[in-house]
Amino acid sequence: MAPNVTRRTVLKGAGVTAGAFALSPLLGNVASAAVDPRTATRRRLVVIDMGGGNDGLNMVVPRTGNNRQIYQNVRPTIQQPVDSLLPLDRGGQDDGSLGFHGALKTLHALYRQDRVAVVQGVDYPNHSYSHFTSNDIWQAGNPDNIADAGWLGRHLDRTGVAIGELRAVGIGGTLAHALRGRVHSGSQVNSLNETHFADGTSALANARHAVYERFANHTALEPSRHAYGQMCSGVVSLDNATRGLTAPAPGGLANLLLTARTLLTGDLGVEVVFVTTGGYDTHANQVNAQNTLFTELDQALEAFFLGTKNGVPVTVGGSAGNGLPAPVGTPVVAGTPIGPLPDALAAQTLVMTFSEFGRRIGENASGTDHGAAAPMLMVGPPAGASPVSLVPGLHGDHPYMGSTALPADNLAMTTDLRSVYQAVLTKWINDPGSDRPDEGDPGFRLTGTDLEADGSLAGLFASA
Amino acid sequence: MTVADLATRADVARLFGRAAFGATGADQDAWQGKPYADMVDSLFPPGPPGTVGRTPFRDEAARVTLEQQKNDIGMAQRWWLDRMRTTPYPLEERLTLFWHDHFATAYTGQPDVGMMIIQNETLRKHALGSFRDLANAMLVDPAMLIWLNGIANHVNGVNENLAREFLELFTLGVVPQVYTETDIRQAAKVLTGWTVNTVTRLATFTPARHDNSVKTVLGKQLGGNAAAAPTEYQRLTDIVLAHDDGITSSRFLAYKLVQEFGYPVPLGEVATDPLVQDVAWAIRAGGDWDLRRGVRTMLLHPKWRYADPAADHLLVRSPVELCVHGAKVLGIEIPFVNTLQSQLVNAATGRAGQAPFVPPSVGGWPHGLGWLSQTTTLGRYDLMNQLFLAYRNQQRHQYAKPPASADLAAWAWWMGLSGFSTSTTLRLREYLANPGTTVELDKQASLFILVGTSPDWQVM
Repeated sequence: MAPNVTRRTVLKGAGVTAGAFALSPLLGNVASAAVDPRTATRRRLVVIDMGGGNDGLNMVVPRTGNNRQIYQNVRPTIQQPVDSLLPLDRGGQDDGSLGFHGALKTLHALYRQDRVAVVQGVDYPNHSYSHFTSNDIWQAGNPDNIADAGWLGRHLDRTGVAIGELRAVGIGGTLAHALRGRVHSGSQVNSLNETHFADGTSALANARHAVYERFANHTALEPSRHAYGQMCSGVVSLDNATRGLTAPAPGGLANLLLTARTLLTGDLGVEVVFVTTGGYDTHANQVNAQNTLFTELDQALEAFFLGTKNGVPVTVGGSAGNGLPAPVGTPVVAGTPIGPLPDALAAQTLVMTFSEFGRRIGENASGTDHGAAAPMLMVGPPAGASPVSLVPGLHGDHPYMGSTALPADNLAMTTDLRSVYQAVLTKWINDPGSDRPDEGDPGFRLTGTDLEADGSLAGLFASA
Repeated sequence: MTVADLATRADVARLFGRAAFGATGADQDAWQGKPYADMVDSLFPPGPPGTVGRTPFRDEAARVTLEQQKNDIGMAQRWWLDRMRTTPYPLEERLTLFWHDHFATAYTGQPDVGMMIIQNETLRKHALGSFRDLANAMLVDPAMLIWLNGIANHVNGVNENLAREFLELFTLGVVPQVYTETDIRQAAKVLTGWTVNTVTRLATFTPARHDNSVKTVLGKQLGGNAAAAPTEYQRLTDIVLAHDDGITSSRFLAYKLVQEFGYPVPLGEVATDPLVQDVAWAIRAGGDWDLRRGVRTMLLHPKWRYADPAADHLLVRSPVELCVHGAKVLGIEIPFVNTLQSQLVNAATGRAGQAPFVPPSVGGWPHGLGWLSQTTTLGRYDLMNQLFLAYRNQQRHQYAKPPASADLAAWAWWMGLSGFSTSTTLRLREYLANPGTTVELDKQASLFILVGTSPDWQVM
């Protein structure tokens, strides 16, 4: 349809996985006793699922030109004024035709420090407008089989999860489809206040827990009961692994990101964190709802990267008595600022957002209905901190918005989500020098397209 | 009458476990050796609330009070959990929970508690009635109209949210998807014009907000008649249900029922699974959309009654079912009033992943293994622990006395099982060999928690 939609990173699905399969009941059994010694050098990925269908066009907003005119015409009540936007210019390296929503102040500051990439127009072929179908496709990374294992679960399957590794963790909601592999799945830790048995550690309670843990030995002839029993053992392992860990809880999504930060900081082997949040289904009252949502997202990024909330330090031992763990042997002093994400961890960590779909170009009166392509945000290490770096700025093409006379109804895909996932897996997470390299997902290698040669995403990551 | 016509203890455990919030020892004594069909029929109420001959709910006054409540969702949750525990019609209540999941609407402040309770009673009224009536009632239900932005849907600003979920989640499903994006946009126009008075909690049709054009949905025309505009949504329901001779919608409903009460059905087998087909036919026969006939057909069906050992035909029970079953076994009240103890029951149900009136999305709660993560599984353990603490605190010993800790056969009977698996028997004996206490009531607490968190009780 649109002339500039042709430069798709990836074209058509290579293969169809036949039928559904049972998602794995197995878990990464966690225990603080045995941790992968390579944890200290591992690169980490934090994925934020903006559930509900985030309106990307009000997050990364046209500021100038034809797209701005179309935007203003079709969004009479929910448009973001030009002077409220935070321009994407980076001293002239980007052209300023786009700007972040005004609530995304921390994100914009990070952008100006060359730490943020915006991948534009991400979607998959034959788009579904259903929350559930589309979410399954994003989480499986497989437009041809929504019941496939999760894209990060398959990563765990390819690289293995050692006994004693808490390699992938979900935070918020129920264990995400993305973390469910065929063999290995992630663990779920919604709050560090919720990983310990309520009946405590008395001799009586310990006698119960010892038996409870052995429900894992239930006969495998009943797969569901066996899977449930495995989970009982996982509960005990997680209880042990997270003893002594707490996280400050300044409120909202920041609580989940600080839980993630605690788990990443603790020497637990955590490589992938999948944070689930919601509320982005803005069919009505979008202006207010989005201000709240983006403020919450920005405060979460601020807490995670800078250790502050609205510029005020988040401290150990807040009103709930929570605090990050100090190094062993160091007394925890309530009121101590948690400070910025430690340099070593910042150099290893990539934060990435997605949502099951963007929303329609035109508003419905006070909101927007389900749409298609949308941008993904990525925040990487500080410049020069990591041998593999995120290349800041815009990637992929902005989707075609039509003309002022005839605005498009929807934003069509310019970047296939599988090419983003493949770049993240092969360029960021992959550790080619390790005994467990992940050279990417066979399902993401499509129609022989070479990611490097293709162009649009070849430069998402750079090696020193 | 053959032996197969008579209920075994396994039949009692299964039927009550799936359809009536779990069996008690008394249920097993009452039905073991009695005709299976009589046991099924005993679960059906004489008719919806208000029917002559029905036993009135003992907590009806509390429900009427809650209809005026704005924000105390915890009280509403405890009220419903205790109604599930005490109702003379547990199957109807179980179906009400099923429809709450199907038409998943969440308390968010708006809709408020009163609207959730009003919707709850509407679901109950139609729970075993006509699905057509139920679907129509939900399209103009105040809580639903607010939750899915029906109140923002008007002729000059068509909002698709309710129309899309009506087709995708409530009636037709997507296996396969028979409707188009155009059908959704047209159906959304049909549903324009409804608003909710948040003081009276009543839905109102405003003709000036309605789109009076002629619409086409699934190839059928409707609308264009201003006089009939207030009931145009009912015409939409008729068209949607009748599509493809009713096969798509009835099969979708049957699939949902079998998933909830029977066994997991792979998407590729929805159109061929014999139980799904038989239940679908029972629902749509004669154009009745008769849910009572559909549910009865399912519960009497051999494929429902006799779990296929080759397939994994067991279900992970939901946290609400576990909570209510545990409270029934212990004979404890789930207090309506706000106490620390009652809050803890709320909290434990929520941490296990199922706070009533607050489903996670319009898609409802997870199913099967989807319920389980370490966090929610720990929530299940803590729920069992909390229920026994409530039992101790409420001094209910005179009503329901736990068996002696060493009598495992009695424990299976008391907690509504026909017996323990070999694995679970071994685990319970391991506990008794090393109980960590010499106090009998502590051992009984441990037995309640360990049976209540055993694979046998959690997955049945």
